[in-house]
Amino acid sequence: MLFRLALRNVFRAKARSGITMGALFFGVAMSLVLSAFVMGVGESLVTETIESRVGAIQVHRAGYFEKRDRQPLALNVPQDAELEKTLRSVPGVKAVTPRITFTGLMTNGSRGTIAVVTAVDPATVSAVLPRVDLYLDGEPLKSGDRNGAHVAQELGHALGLQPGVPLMLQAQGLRGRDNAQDLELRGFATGQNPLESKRTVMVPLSFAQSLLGMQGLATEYVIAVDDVEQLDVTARGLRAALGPAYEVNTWEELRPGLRDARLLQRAILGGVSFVFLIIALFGVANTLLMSVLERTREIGTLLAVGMTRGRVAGLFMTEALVQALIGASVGLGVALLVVSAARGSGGFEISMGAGQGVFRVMPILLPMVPVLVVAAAVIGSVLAAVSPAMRAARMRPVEALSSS
Amino acid sequence: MNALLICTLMAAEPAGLPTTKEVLAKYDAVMAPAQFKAVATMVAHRDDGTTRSYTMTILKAADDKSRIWFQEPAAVRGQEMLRNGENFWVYMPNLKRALRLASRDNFQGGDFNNADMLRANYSTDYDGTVSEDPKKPDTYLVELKAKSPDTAYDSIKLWVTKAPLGLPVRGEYFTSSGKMLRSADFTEVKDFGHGHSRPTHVTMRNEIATQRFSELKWEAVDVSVTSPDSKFALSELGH
Repeated sequence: MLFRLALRNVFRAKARSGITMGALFFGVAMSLVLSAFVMGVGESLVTETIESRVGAIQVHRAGYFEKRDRQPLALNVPQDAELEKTLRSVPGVKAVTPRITFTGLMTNGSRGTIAVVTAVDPATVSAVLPRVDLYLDGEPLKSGDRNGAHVAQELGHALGLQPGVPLMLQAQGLRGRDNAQDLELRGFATGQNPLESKRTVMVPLSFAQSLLGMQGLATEYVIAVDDVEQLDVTARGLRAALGPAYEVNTWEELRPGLRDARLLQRAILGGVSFVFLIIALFGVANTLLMSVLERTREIGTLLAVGMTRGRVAGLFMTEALVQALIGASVGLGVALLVVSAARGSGGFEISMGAGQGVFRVMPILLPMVPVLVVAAAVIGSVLAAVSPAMRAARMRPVEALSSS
Repeated sequence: MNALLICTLMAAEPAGLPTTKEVLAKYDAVMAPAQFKAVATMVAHRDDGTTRSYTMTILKAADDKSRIWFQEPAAVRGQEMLRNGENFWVYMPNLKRALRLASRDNFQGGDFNNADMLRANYSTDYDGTVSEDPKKPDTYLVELKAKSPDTAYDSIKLWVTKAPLGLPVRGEYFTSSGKMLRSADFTEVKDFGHGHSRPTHVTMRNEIATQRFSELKWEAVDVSVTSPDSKFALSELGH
């Protein structure tokens, strides 16, 4: 009875109800769309970090990070089947690949600059880092390639690299002696990070092992996991399997800046969504208060024919609930449509500036977000209606009926 | 294999040529006398066209003790380097502490390495052969191969004068991959007294990045200076 009356009242005052529901629609839709796109940026950064460079987990010799500045190659790991078998036997480990990271002098024969070099095993790297060549302009490194190089675009430009220009890498080997070998340019990496674009080079693992005198050795194993949500469980399993001679780090430990940025991003997103909802709820409270003032004689009549003060208050709160449910539902539907359309078209691209390629973002709406936003909108609307409803319930019938 | 090759080559050395040991002993006596005090300036030329000049005082006593005090530029004034045995340190005055160095690290970011400056002792580190070079008839070509993988270079080609024996004219320094890493030209021989003559101008070129090179100018060398061992103690750095 009360619900039917509230429903009739909502549709009777179309303009007023439209404003209330519009405010809720705007608040819910904006919160959800904004959340999906901002979360998409954050998750795309994380996914790219995991799948193109850092990997989900890295395994190093214990103490590597403490000593790598002075002795970057001394604490190495064996590149052998036994260690790989141990790594793969841990539940949750999907694939493993060895790598060597080091610094060297990249030169074109006449000029040189310091480069941060990552040496990968072309045969196994794509199973662990499926997006390793995402921003590559050129040929991927193939199994058996002894001296190919992917050079970051700005580094390549700084050295004037093009086919026919000599390319050499000089670096201190495992025993500390300088060595230098020729490379062949296979392509440019148009990385999205300006700092990386000035410094990074990728070469085959066998080239680095020969250059550095590290045959059969690597500086790390990079590991892909079956389920990123179970990252910590897999990392614990690896620590137990490898013992104290090795250290196991997840991407969150290796890139704490990115982890913290993601947490900060979520906090800011929550704050912005809260502001959108508060604005919408003020709209709800304002229109309901106007409704109470406009319907004073109607309230007086209801009280005069015997409706209790509690039911009068309940009527206004039910009207708020109906409006909130309709506004939030439409907002949710529109937000889902927008996000689905964006995902269906492959996300959207953010240009990283001249020569820096593009960064593709796929909007993500985590299941808990719509639930939280719609619940907050509905509960908030009902709470916003408490004051106007109490004002209606406290009216004296005689005064209400005599008001103009 | 390398040792076998060197033995074979040494056995094939023509009669009348000085032995490798004799040539290297002379070279070491010229370039790294047993004891001396010297003032030198190194100018590092970068590939962007910039240069940086370092003026230093060098003190050496015995084969394995050397110390360098930097006077210029202001950014490194008070900085010191020490070699004692196989250990190298750099003393940073702003930190008031000494940090370990590797002998193969670049010397002040130039094209010499620390071993070139503080550990020039080819007799100890290298074996090799002596031969005539038809293109440079006034010199002997000394082809050296490192005795251990811990030396700065895998192999060296050194051209030294025949008379007087052992004055270097040119050096070429190779990596284990056979690539020439650096080359040096030794010029402007000067007599500093006490029977000590040496090239005073060394141009070390980076052959991997050829626009980079460094010059070392020896301005004063006194081989009569003796120094107590205490001068080369780690605790002495900064005093």
